[in-house]
Amino acid sequence: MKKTFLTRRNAILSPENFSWGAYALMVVLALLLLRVIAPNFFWKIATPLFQSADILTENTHLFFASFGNAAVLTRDNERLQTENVILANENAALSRTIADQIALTSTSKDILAGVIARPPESPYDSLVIGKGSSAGITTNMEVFGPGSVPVGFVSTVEKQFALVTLFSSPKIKIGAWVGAGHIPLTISGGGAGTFRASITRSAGVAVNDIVYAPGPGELPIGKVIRTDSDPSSPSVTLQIMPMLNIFSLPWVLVRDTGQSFLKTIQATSTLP
Amino acid sequence: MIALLLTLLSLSGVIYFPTTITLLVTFVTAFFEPLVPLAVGIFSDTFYWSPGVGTLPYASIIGLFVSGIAFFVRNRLRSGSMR
Repeated sequence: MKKTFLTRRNAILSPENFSWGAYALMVVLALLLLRVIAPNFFWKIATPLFQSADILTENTHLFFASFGNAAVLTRDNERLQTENVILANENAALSRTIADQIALTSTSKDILAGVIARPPESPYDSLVIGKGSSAGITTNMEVFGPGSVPVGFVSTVEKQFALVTLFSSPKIKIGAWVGAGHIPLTISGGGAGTFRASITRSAGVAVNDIVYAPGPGELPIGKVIRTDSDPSSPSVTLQIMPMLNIFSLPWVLVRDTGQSFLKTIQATSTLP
Repeated sequence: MIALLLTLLSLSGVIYFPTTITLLVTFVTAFFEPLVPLAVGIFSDTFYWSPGVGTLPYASIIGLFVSGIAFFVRNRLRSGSMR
């Protein structure tokens, strides 16, 4: 009877399993032994490995960082493009709104006139403009500066020229509103381009409150720069600085706002 | 050849690769070479373990554990196949 021969099998070191893993384990154990026996020598031979690892890490970091920067730039670019579209839409909407406002507040009868003389060349608190009756300008037409800021009214008209009396001229009084509460008050010209107004102390008008004048709607005409008060008086005097510097007005718009019609009514009214 | 490449990759990963990548490569290599996780663990501790600190050589312990699992799985698969 033939004897059955069974080969001894070792789970780890059998020829079948003795592979690259076993070789690696042997090398690693040798390195571990080297570290235990001769640590200085071990670290000396390990130093180039760590240095190469540092170089590799630095290079790969730079390599991937370049991708990271590109990704960030791409995201920023997309975000900016989106914001650009949003801003363009808002701009278009605002442009439409401005066009609507202009259509509502201005008429086709606006006359653009260049300012020929302004203070101090012209008589004080008046303007000389380069258009007159030939362009359709008549007395009592209202004059507006850039931004539709009312500046005065036409007082004298020649064929080619007109004289504009500014609201800041002494003895000129116009109705206005002041502050966020739109408190009505009468402002009078203070000369030198300024206005004055008197209002009760209880109104609570403060510095930097905006003063609005009637035009088509409410138009900002100036800003409160100082409040003068007398403790014995129940009212305060407001010093108002105009929104526009009348000494540097390049052009004005002349518009009929019905002042002539208003004065006609006032002249013919029988009411006290 | 794949086993050799994976073995070298696992060992070099201890020095050159981030830990997560090294672990991933080692797990993959364990399917081909069950002893590699143990070798990688010892290799890692050879370089990074400080005996004076008092901590255990966790890399070697984990490597031993993973290698044991790999051997177990391989033996189970082998016993289930016809020879």
